[in-house]
Parts: sequence; structure tokens; C-alpha cells
Amino acid sequence: MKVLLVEDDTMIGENIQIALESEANLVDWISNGEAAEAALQFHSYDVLLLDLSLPQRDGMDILKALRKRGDQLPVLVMTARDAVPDRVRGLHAGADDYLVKPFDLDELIARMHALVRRAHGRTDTSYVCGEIVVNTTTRQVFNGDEQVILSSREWTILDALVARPGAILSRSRLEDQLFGATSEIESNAVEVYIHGLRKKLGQKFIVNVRGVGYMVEKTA
Amino acid sequence: MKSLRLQMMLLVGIAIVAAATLQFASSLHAAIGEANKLFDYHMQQMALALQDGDFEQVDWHNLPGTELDDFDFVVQVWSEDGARVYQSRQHRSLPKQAALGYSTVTLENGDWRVYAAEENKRVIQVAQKINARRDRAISFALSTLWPVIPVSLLLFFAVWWGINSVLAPLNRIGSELANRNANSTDPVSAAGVPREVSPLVTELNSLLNRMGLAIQAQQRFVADAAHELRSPITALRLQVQNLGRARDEQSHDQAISRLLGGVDRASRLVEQLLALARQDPASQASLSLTPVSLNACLEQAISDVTPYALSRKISIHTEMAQVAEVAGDAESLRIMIRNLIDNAVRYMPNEGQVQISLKRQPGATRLSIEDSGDGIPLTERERIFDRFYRVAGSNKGGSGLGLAIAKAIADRHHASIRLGDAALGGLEVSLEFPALSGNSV
Repeated sequence: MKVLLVEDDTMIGENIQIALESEANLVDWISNGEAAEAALQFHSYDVLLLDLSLPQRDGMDILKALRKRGDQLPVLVMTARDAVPDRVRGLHAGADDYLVKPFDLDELIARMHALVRRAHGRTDTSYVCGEIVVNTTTRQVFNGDEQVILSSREWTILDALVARPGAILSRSRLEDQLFGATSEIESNAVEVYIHGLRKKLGQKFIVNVRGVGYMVEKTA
Repeated sequence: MKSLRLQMMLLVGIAIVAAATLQFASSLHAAIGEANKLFDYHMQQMALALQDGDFEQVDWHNLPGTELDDFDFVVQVWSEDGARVYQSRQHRSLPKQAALGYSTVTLENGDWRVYAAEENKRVIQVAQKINARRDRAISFALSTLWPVIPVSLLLFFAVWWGINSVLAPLNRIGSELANRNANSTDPVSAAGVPREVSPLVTELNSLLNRMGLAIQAQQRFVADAAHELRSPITALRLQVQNLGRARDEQSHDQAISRLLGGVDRASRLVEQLLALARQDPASQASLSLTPVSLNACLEQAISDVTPYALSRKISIHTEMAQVAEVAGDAESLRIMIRNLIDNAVRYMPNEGQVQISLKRQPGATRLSIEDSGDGIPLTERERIFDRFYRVAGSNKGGSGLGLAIAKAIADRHHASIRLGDAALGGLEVSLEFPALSGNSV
């Protein structure tokens, strides 16, 4: 999953990035308001983790601008300001959830996943298709009774696909998930990981729509 | 508490009653005078009317007479030889008066007004009790008093209405204040308020305004403090959790070094808080102000900051023409100057410059620190000495307390601290110490 982290405190930002990346998420960490605004306009993300007190542009402004553009991106606000009016204002401005610092890392990650699930219209944490069960919270994949071990990059691809079953994700979209906007792109990396996933989960699990992209079937 | 309305009503009520009393007294006086004149005239007329009458009624004293007392007048007639030939009321006998004309006599049954006239050698005497006259006069006077009562009541209600309508703006302000939100510091409307009361409303509004500003400052402080105190704790918590998640030795070691960084940051914050607390005027009864060489403090402060400045390729130039002594505490002064220089160095781009100059001026010693940074917008300048305040975008690991500490130290040394635009393009902070007493310049 591709996360935009907007946090001006170096230590906090660094640690959230490390934790999220260790779970095979792609994290763009930005520490000022204007750069965050630009990133939101030019790249697509699955979720935004937003600190409210930011240099140059206030977090609340970014949130308002985002919603004004009609962007439905799930937003989790993280702030040290815990007064009830602050929270209410944040939620009114379009935040989907609110965490007051100091927060628990696991809680942050769980809430972030919950927001993304909800945004995709899913409330269950598992994707089931035939014998294959993908749990996006525990990041466990089963083929029948057998647990399948995936590499971090394979998981990134799978996670993006099962997040929206039935939706076709283009190769460039998947590359974006893998490497972010800033990194160099390996020419056939996506094909390599898709091939790996098919080998572990069966050829028919990931559908290739020629010339458009990849998808997993929508079930139930 | 005294009610203005009741007080006014009471005063007006007393005035109305006093006026009515005065009116009654004067009409009573007039009525008595009028009654006397009138009754005297009656008595005279009565006497004249009786002059020609025949009073040879020797058995007058055997006539059946009524015992009624409600006849006001008593008529008596004496013959030439002094025998009483007539008496209108048997049981009322008055002595014959020596003098003719009007006289007032006092008998055992009260005061009488008497009129005597002589005609045909007979003396006709008409008498009337003074009491009867007074009663008439009083009932006369009372009859003039009755209209005063409705008029007074009318006046009373008119005054009541008038007072109410004059006091209405005060009532409005009162209810406005009573019904407002407890936290509201909006000004009270001065519309329709009488001139005598408007200073009160103006003062109230300025008080509300000052209270509002104080509340805002307090809210800002709490919000800033929440941010500055929670951020290091948040960082620590995340660092510990990441340490727990580290899978291999390398990431484990990195997590530990990051955690140590977080602990250092938290302890810096604690140190700064303690430094600020030490400068609190309430924490120390008095600062021992001894003559201190500002030059020495400045040199120490510069050497404290130099390693950090060097790491950022920032040069510090110093201009110390003379030896300057101020009354103060050397350690506090060093902390203050270090915080100011550190602030200049920390918030400027690499490879910048800091220019420090120490000068003695008539009556004062001036220390100025200029930098080539971005400066601070005018709108933020008044807030940068606030505790925990940080200029937006300046996340350089500061606690937001350095300048607050510097300000507290300056205050304790009676030094003024000013912000201006530096010739180098950034901010100029200038400190002015009062000259040591007895120190010639």
C-alpha cells in the first residue's frame, strides 16, 4: 500500500516510515505543507497520515483543499493537540480518523488498514478466492491449509490487487506501488513478481488483461 | 446590594408625601383663617338680626329644650339691668362679656369665640366653640387634600415608568451578561446606553477584551506546550516499538541509536524546562547581582555554540571594543547569550554568518547579535519569546524554550531585549543592560 506521511518532526516521521516500510508499504515522507500539497496533486496514494502542525502550510488547510478537490483519499490525522474542539474541527474538515500523540505504532497501523479497507468498501480483513485466503491485517496467505510465504515485494503487489478485487491495476500503477515516484524503475519488475505470485498461488489467481493490467477476481 | 430603582422610588415617594403634607398644612392654615372670618361674620349678622326681636320671655329658663349638642351657636340676651332675658340653650351658659365686639374666652368646657353687641340697652351675645370652628376648617382642608392623593399616585407611577425606561439599557446589559456563554468575551453593546453609564460599559468592554487576549494567550500556550511536550514522548514510543520490531542485528543497532537520540532530545527538553523554572522570579527570592564581565560571558557562550556552528559551516564574528561589566549572575547571562546565538545559528541555512557586537553607550551596555538567516516575519516577532512557541517551519530540534529562557533572564537583569532587521539580512537581537551604578562611561 502506498502511504503519504506528512510529519514535520524528524524523529516521529523517521520512525513511522521505518515501521510502515517494514510491513511492505511504500512510504513517501514529507515534512512541510507545501511539498505535501504538491505530492497529493501529482501522485496517487492509498492513505494519508497527516500531522496538523506543519511548516508553510497548516495540515488543516491541506485537508480542506484535498476534500474541496473531491479527493476521497482516506486521511488519518495525527496531532498533539487533543482539545475536543481541535478534534471536531479536524473531523469536520474531512479527516476519517484521529490519533492523538503519543500513540501506539500498532494502533496507527491497524487504524490505517481499517481506513483503507473501508475506503474500498470492504469491512472484512480477508480476501478469499477458491482455496486462496489473503489476510491483509496479519499479512498471511494460505493456499488451502498451507501457509504461503511471500517476499516483501510480492506482498506489495498482492496487497494492491486484493485491496480492490475486480479492478484492473495498470503495470505503471503497480510499479508506483513497488518503487514510489522517486525511485528508479526496473523495466520488468512487475512481471517478475506476478510470475512469482502465480507460481505460489496458481496461474489463474491473477488475471492478466492484455494491454490494460492485472486484477484478482471479485468474489462474493 | 442597593437597588437604584427602589432608592429613587423611595426618594421620590418621600418628596411626594412631603409636598402633600405641605399642601395640607398650607390649606389648613388658609381654611382656619377663612373659617374664622366667615363665622365671625355669621355671629355678627346673627347678633344684628336679633336686635329688633322681643325677648320679654321671662320663663325662658322653663322652656323645654333639647339636649342636643349639635348646635354650634349659643345666643344670650341680657336686659339693661343685667337680667338674662334670653338664652338659646338652657344648659349652655356663658358669662356676659364685659367688652363688646369680638373676644375669645376660655371656660372650663373649652375655648369660645364671642361676639357681643348692645342695642336698645340690651346686650346680645353670640358665642361659638372654637373647636367647632377648627373641625370645620380641618374638614375643609381635608376636602382640598383628597385630589392630592390620586395625583400623587399618578405621579408615583409616572416616575416609576420613567425610571424603568431610563434604567432599561442597564437591565439589557445585565441580562446580556447573565445569559451569555461563560467563555464569551464579546463586547457588550453600548447602544442606547446613557452618557453617565457609558464609561462603565467602555471599561467593561476593555476588561472583556483584555480577558479575551489573556485567555487566547493561555490557550495558545497550552496548545504549544501540548505539541512540544508530546512530540518527544511520541518519538520515544515509536522508537521503542521499532526497536521491538527490529528483525536483524543491523536494524536493531540502528533502532537503539535512534532511541538514544530520542532520549537525548527528551532530556534536553527537561533541562530547558528546568532552566526556565530557575529563572522564574518566584523560584528565587532574589538574584545576587554582582558585577560580571559581559565579555567573559560572551566568550563562553560563543565557545559553547562554536562546534555546532562549525558543523554547519557558519562563521561567528565578534566585535568587542571595550570591557563591559553589568550587574548580574554570570551563569544565567552565559545561558541567555548562548541561547540567543544558538537560535541564530540553528535557524539559518548552512554557511551563514553571525555578527556579534558588544558596545558601551552612555548609560547602557548594548549587545547585538545579527544573523544572515531568513529573519522572522513581523507578525511572529511578538510571539517568539512565548514558551514553547516555534516559528512555523522551523523544526530544527529546538524545544521552543530557548528564547523564553533568554527573555526571562533578561527580565531578571532589567535588560531590554529587542528584535530588528539585521544588516546581514536576517534577524537582529539586541540586548540593552542598564549601566552599573557608579560606573563612568
